[in-house]
Amino acid sequence: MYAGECYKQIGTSGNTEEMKMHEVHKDPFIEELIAITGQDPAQCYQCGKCSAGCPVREFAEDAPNRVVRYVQLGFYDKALQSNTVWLCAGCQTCSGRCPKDFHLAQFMDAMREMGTKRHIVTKEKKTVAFHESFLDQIKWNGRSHEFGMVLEYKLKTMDLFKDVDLVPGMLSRGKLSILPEKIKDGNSVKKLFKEKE
Amino acid sequence: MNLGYYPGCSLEGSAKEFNQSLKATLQALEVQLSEIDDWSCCGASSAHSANHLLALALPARNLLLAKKQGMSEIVAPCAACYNRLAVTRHELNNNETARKGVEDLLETPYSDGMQILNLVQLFHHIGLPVIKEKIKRQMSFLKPACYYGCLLVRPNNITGFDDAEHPTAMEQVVEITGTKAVDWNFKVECCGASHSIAHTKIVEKLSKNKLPPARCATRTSICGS
Amino acid sequence: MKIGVFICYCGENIGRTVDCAAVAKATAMLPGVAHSEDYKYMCSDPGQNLIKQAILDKKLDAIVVGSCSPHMHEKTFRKAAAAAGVNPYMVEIVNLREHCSWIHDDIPSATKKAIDLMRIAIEKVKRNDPLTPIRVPVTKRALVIGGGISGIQAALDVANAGYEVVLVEKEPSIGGHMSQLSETFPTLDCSQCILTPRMVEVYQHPKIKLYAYSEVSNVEGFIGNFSVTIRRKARGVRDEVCTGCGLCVQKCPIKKAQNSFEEGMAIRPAMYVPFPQAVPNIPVIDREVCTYYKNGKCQMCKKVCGRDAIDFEQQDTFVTEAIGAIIVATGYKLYTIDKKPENSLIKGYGEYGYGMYKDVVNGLQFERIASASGPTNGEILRPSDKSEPKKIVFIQCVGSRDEAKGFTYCSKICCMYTAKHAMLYKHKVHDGEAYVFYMDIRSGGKMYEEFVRRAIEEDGVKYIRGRVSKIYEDDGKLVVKGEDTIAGMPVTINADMVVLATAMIAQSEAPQLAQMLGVPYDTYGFLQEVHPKLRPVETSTGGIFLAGACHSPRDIPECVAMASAAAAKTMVLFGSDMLEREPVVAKVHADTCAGCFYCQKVCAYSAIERKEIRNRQGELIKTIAYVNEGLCQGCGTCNATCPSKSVELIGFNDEQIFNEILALDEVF
Ligand code: SF4
Ligand code: SF4
Repeated sequence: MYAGECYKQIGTSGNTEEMKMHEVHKDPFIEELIAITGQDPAQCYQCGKCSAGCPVREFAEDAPNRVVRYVQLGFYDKALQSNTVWLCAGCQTCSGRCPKDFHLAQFMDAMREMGTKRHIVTKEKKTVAFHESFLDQIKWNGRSHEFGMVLEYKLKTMDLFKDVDLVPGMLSRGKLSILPEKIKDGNSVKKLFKEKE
Repeated sequence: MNLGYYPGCSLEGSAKEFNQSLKATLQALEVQLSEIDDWSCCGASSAHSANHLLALALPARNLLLAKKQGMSEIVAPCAACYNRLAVTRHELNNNETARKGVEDLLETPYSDGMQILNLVQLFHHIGLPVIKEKIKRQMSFLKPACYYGCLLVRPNNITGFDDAEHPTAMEQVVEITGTKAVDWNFKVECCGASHSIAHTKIVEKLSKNKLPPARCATRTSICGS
Repeated sequence: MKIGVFICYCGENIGRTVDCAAVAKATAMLPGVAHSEDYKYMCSDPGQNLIKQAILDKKLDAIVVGSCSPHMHEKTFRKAAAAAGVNPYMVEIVNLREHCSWIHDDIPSATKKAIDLMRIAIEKVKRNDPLTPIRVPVTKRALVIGGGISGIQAALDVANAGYEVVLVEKEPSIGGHMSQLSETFPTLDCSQCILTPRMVEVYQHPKIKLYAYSEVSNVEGFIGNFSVTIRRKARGVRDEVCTGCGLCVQKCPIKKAQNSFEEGMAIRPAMYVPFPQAVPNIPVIDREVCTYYKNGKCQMCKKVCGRDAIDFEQQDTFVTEAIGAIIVATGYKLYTIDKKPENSLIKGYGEYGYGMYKDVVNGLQFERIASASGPTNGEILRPSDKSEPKKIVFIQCVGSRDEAKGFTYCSKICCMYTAKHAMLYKHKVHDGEAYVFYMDIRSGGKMYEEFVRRAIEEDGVKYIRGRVSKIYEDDGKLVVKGEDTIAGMPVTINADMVVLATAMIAQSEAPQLAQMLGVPYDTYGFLQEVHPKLRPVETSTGGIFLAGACHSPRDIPECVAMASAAAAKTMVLFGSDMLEREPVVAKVHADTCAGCFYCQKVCAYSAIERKEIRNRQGELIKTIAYVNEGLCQGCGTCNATCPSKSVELIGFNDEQIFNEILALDEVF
């Protein structure tokens, strides 16, 4: 039993019977997390400095330090489902100021990676769609192709008409090209996606 | 001076003007740029949201190409590209497991020896006095506010670029044009750029947060890279 | 020679992996061994009696005990042997626990190793000589380094017990950081009011010799017999004649030096006393600022001094004192929020503005602001515009519990002093709002938790759990960005003033002092005690004791308690006239010594002296090396260096060591 289960008991039975805190075991989830990031979430002492400086804090459901807390307690799904994970802008303000030298931005990266792998459904469908569209361009062309990416993104999100008025201007200024510029050795890039799939 | 050049996707697309003016400037400074042949995207924030090895393998491909093409220093003007290249280099040099994983994907062994410069570093590298001599027009009518954002200064142990909270390297560069940069509080604050497509509202709000103090100073321009 | 062998099981500790009975049996067969036995607890009374009985029954000359570390029970077994009439230096201890049973798990091989170790010791003991301990006299004078509250307390305790004390303080006045504090937790009594009488007592005490504005520059010798050189820095004022009238301070026209007593928030003249209650009340010339030292101009002080006490040409002087025990009470330094040069341990808080914002102050600065004798006469006014802050934010754990900035430890006093600060603020600014950002509240101590609760419940201080991420200035306000981790809500406070609860860190010169004294220190520069629980004020160097914050962050009551403990240890030492020392020292054989003095060059303790050998007519034959037994630590370096093999380390001579090695030969 990991610590989080004690919390559930209290929540469901509604009583405040003695809460036994157990050491959080290094279960497979934590081990995978450590393998990706090289750091154990137990390192975080929950000071909240990360959240205090996080630019997307006000838009996020959970403070970033809470996402770490969920993981510390074993509420993995709760952590992976939190929209904070996908709203994180990767700015690394948190990592730069963390008194425990916990690289929270890297932790957030790992949460996105692990969430996707586990097919966790998140409310942040748009962000997911954006990243997917972006990476697909790289996979197919070797470089990002903005027109193709936006097209794919719009199809994925069915948000077809937002910002379309910008397109003609960008096209005429040469900022958008309709056809992607493909690199010569496209295969060498494609095979890098092996690990992801 | 001869340098490898990694333009990155946005300088080929939405930031085209940036690319043009940069090339013109460097030409005036007698810096030859040779573009890495057949470079590919660094993966930006999407790759490290998807897979940690992919995020390293994409930039690593370019580092290896540059090396193969005989380069030892490359300039990456886009902050995101710069950051991804620098982080990748650091990881591959210091993290055995990551290096092995990336080598497996690339099917090539990795070896270091590449210096990665962002624009501000490049100008310092050329030497501010050298640049100063070539300045034709004083720009004292401008009051620029320098914006570093996230990716030039963080993670500070890797980029090793100036002070993490109160950097001044960019100010030093713009001030040789005769301007006086204004000091402001949000030099290293995040603008949310990675959400510019999916969450335009957030980006608008974050960018607006930063603007007012900068606007107070008359005729302010914002420099970033 | 008849040797007795005793093998201890140490309960299970040795017995678990070493077959003790087999070891006893095997050693019984060795040449010279007349008696061998094993027992569950050799150190117990019945165990010791076994040894004594065997010595008497079998008329043993020497014994070897296979047991735990000699650190634990060498004394016990030597005493038992002595009681039965065997010289204590005819006892050898073999560490079968730490060196064998604890580090192995295979019983047969551990047992074999134990037998080998025993054989080695038996070969050595055969060549031991009966020795007598060296007796050295004790100089019953104590040196106290540092004149803060710890040093003051230690000096007074030792002096009141009737022993002489030399007190050295590097600042012009004693009093230390405590003299800067406003009021003290948890009773809120005024710091100066309780400290000043103690300072005066020190000054007037017939047994205390005070060297203020002085530093220890060299320490030689050993427990009971130190020789300490003290550098008396030149004040520019002759203290024998100065009456402390203060006229020169008043008249000094150069009034622009940073006042360090006021933590840089006020200025003072070039001629100054750090604060009005200073002890001794003798001024000092700040030579960095005084114009006389720049261009020879002014000399105003010299003109006004009625006692002709001013001496611009005064130089540092050195005095040497004979000392028996040293109490180190050098205190702490406050973490500075400024940006620091790259190789400094201090990284500074860029996110809090590196000390760029005038109204972001540190803990000691707030003490001065709240102090009735401070730069604002006790009114709470912020430094930038001297206005009363209506919203004040306190941030705890700055420079402590912050691995990223290089300091992992808890500074221990900041929770309490922040509660006090917030309380003092609320007592003075009734309509003000006070916020404290904390991570944990550590208020262990008598009436401490009650004190913190009083700040929250009675004085209405708002405690917010979370660490602040950033402070920036906007429109005359300090914007403090935090997160309330209990509510899970971001907090932004537009404050008028911010107080950082900066941590206690080690004095920058602490490592140098520690090296001079031969005392270990930790990675942070705090001095190290011998045992964290049982010997908290002693150091690994005999006769040197620790008091106060030079050891670790601690508050006034703890400093005082520790100082009294160090004083008590000093008095224990002074309780005997003679000290016994191990006779393990080097000895030079006069007949073969060629007088090359290589040994003198390598000796780390300056124990080698020169001795002239003369014939009956008084003619000089040769000069040879001679070991001062008082200084020799028995390290054996000279023994190894001597080209003519004329130095012998008593108790560990070449013959003994070689035979130990030869005994090993049988092993391979
Ligand atoms: S700043 Fe670091 S230690 Fe503090 S809550 Fe965030 S991740 Fe944890
Ligand atoms: S990296 Fe993500 S979690 Fe950290 S401060 Fe930036 S947006 Fe917030």
